[in-house]
Amino acid sequence: MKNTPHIVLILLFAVNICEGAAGLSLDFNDPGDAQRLRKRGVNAEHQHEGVVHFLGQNEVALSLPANPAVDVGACPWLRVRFCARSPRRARVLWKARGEMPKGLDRAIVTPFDKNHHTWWVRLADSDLWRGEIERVDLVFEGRPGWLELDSIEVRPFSIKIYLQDQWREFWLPRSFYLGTINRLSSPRLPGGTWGSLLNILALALIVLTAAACWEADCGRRRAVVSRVALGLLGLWLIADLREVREQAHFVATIYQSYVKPAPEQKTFPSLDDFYRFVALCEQTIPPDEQYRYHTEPDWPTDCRITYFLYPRRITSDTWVETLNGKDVPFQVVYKDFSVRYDPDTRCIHKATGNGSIVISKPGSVMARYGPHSFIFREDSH
Amino acid sequence: MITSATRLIAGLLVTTAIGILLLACLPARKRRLAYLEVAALGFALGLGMHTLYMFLIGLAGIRYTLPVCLAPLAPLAVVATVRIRRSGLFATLRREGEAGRLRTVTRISITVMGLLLAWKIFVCFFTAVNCPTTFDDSVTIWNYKAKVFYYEGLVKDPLHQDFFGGHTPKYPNAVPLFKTWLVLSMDRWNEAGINLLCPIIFLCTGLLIYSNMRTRAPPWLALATSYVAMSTPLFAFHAGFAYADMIVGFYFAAGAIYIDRWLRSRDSADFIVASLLFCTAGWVKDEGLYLFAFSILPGLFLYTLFNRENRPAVLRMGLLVIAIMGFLLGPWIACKLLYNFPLAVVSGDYHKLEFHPDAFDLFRQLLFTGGDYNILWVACAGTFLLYALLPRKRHMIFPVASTILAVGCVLAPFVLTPLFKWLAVGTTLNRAMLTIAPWATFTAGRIVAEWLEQNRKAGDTS
Repeated sequence: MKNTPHIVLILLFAVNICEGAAGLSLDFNDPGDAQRLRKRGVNAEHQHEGVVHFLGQNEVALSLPANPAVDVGACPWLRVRFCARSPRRARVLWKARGEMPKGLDRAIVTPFDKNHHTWWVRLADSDLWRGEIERVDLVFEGRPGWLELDSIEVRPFSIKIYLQDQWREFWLPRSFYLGTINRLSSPRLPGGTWGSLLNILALALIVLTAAACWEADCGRRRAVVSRVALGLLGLWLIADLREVREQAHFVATIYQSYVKPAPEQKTFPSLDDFYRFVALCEQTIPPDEQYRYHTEPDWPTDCRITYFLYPRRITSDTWVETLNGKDVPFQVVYKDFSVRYDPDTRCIHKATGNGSIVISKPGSVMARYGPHSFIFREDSH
Repeated sequence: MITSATRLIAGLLVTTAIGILLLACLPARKRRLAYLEVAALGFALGLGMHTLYMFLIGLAGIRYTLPVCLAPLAPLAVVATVRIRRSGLFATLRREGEAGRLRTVTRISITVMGLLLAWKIFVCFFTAVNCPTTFDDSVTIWNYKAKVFYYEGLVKDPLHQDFFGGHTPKYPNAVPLFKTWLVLSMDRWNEAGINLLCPIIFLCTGLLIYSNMRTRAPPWLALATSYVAMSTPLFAFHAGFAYADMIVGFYFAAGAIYIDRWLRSRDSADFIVASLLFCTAGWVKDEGLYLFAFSILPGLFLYTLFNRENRPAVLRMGLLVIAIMGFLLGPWIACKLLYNFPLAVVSGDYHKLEFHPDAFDLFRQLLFTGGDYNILWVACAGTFLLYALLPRKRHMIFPVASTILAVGCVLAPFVLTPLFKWLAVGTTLNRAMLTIAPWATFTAGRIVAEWLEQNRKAGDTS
């Protein structure tokens, strides 16, 4: 114990000397940083507060030009921090002078959780990481959507930065989405998750206890078991303290987005402003009426509007709750870009592959919520 | 708003009163009940019996109104008053046992657990009150059916869109009918009010586990067991949202706890309470009956194999519990047969045997690497090892066997049937495990308590 301060000092020293300089680095703090990247499959981009946002197609390729060439021996790691707003996986490729592009076999499968994650990829694991590297490419595949890139570096390993990154990863909040009810995620750790680490520790504790109890007498067994029970409870408490942080974040999120704001500013995680639209429908459509619902995609709002507007009855591509023989005078459109109200014909038109078709009798818009969200009522009713 | 809240509280109190009056009508007890236990049990029993009554009046074509739904309270109160005078439920109430002198470490642990529990209770009440109904099953099944019952009553025409609550008529109706009752008592549809059911069940889980652990365990262990059950992350998360898995978990655990208690006390009141709780478990979700049939009954059978002296009494009571459940759930089961609702938990497409070895790796990933259950399953497995080392263990066979069988009941279909496809997408297993998590936690706590007691006695003797 007397040596503890010395050990701490040595560790701190080691941590500092291990911190190397990046061989190739973009942190997007300068407005011109994003311009240095060569891009493919990007429809739009903007840079804001150290993060560059790309609206990408199915495949987005970002190339970092290395000038001068990367020193492959000194910089064997890629450190990249980004957030994919649509399900994506990322592959790392590089091109040496006079050679074809090559890359790592494995891909980064990005958690689809709205958080920015930092990934350390050891490029030197590949025999192909050699020669004079002219550029390094990051290729994102998956669904089209926004990509947010914080930084990208090809660099030596730095234990200080690595630990900082892992610490930050550990405290990332769990994202709240409509599948959270089925499964709660656990913080990501190198080589596993926080949940798996705790379970391994608990298992080790139990195996050690079993070994200790095997030969022990009654009194000793009792002591061992009591301590292990407390040990397991301790592990549980540690995990629960981390969970308390998740719950606090959840409470704060709900309070900030849904409880505190004025009615016209309320949003809800994963459903955005949907509940405001529901409130508008409740005010506009009388309780004994029936409506046709248009949205794209159907889930997650179709089943929700069915419930919230009941006893008003829905008919849509996925739900038919209307009563036979009763008119359906209302058309409810929520963020459906294919449906529009035409003031000339006073009808609702729906875009199809060959133009558009009329899907209503003449009528008028009773309430407009947004450019593609409104409530329409046919005249004859 | 205040009127609504007051009326909601009154509605909840009526349900609890029905349960407490039912308790008072049961045969006299040798063992006493704690105050908080009576409150939790009263609510749990009241919910089950009140909704079964509502179902019957719905079948009779009577629309749900406040006076109609309040009707059972009066005769029950008269019978209970007579019974209370004779058997005296309130005379048998006890305060929780004295804590005695505690070590500083124990005191600190109790304080920390108490604070964490208070936080969790706050979070789930905050969520239920402030979040609109959010997740799919709530909006398509549980709350939707409640809304249909409230506006249209119980529609028995299979061609009508609102037939048996619309969308999913095959689902049991305890949860929707109880929500309908709450809305009737509030006199208007109120999301926050109806979503309070889960937080209340969450509280009841803690209270019942604590009260029953406390009869055989020191206060710190009773609190720790209760705390573990309530702080299981997915259980606490579900407590804020209107899903039914944790409610089945509560009823299944409560039923099993009172069977276990009966095996020790031989108070017939405990057995009747257990029957009513299992009955409600099956009335909340079909899984309740499935678990009862394939884990509780075989658990009792195993108990009789190893405790021959108790065989006649256990068999008699086993038949009685089936009779009580059959009688109370009879109308619902008759409706299932009449309207061709599936009797099984899953449809016929899944009723074929096929082996899926890949399931085991998915179990590992889903149960031991995520954030749903903390270290619950590893800790339970550890305590079951302890059970193997107990000097006297015959009397503990029921909780251990029924827990292991219950785990098997949940996992086996994913390995042996086409239900595997739902395991692969990761949407069902963790929710399914919620139905057995409170009982597994209680069993683990019981084993530790038994271990400590037996070793203390052995230490005292030597």
